Amino acid sequence: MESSVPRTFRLYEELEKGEKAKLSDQSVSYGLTNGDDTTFTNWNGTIIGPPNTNFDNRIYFLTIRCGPHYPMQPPEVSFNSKVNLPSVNQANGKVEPTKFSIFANWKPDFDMEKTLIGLKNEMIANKKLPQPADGDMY
Amino acid sequence: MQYSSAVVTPRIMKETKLLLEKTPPGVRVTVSEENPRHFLFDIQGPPGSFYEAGIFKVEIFLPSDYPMSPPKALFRTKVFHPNIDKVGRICLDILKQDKWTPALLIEKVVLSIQWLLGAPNLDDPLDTSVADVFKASPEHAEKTAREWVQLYAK
Repeated sequence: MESSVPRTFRLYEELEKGEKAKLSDQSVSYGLTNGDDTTFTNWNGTIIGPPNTNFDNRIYFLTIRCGPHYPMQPPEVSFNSKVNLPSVNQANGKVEPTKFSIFANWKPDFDMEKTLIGLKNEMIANKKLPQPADGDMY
Repeated sequence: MQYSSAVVTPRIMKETKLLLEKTPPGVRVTVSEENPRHFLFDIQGPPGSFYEAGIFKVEIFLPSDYPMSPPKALFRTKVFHPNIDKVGRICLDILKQDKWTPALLIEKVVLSIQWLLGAPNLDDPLDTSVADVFKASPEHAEKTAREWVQLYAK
């Protein structure tokens, strides 16, 4: 996405993209936590576990927070569903910015879709990692 | 050719100058320090309307191909109005690509938004649940609209 678009309009574009199911990857989705949040701050995301991995047949729920400096700074992302991934803090589900390459190399034209796809790709790269029971939440 | 939206064209400079020097009545404008294509407006509700006592924050952003494409505008103040939805989207003809012409100005957009507050259009609602209240009970619509002004637009 274009990086010089102000936060409000940038997040509005992302909202429309998410609402109209225009995401290029159908295995991820996101939307506003509260449909009347005019600050566009708090979002819910989902990732469908990629096939032929230990994440297969599971839906992962995430919380995404786009703070006042988004997209100059990455969002804060936490898994609500328990997941064993190298970038995810096992105590609370938080995606650690230093361990997640999309956040470590963040650019303002990255967006929530790219973030979720990045996490899905991390699942694919770690497809044999043992996983907690399906449905466990932080 | 795609212009970076950070580029300020002579047209935008001229419009900005006009907006700052001859701001229409009932309107305050600030140009973003980070992005000269980004404008923050405070728009007073039109006298005699349900919204007359309120000041409404509206953000306007000029896309990279402005004025070939219309400005983008969003309410940042919650407002109970059939043509403005929960996240601040505005249903207004001149903001649509096929109704916009480059002869229009940012000022015209702002004045149209102010006018829209006083002239809810029930034939083309954006939030149908709000439009239903306006149709079923104008008194109830007025009460809620005025309550929201007190809650959010002060």
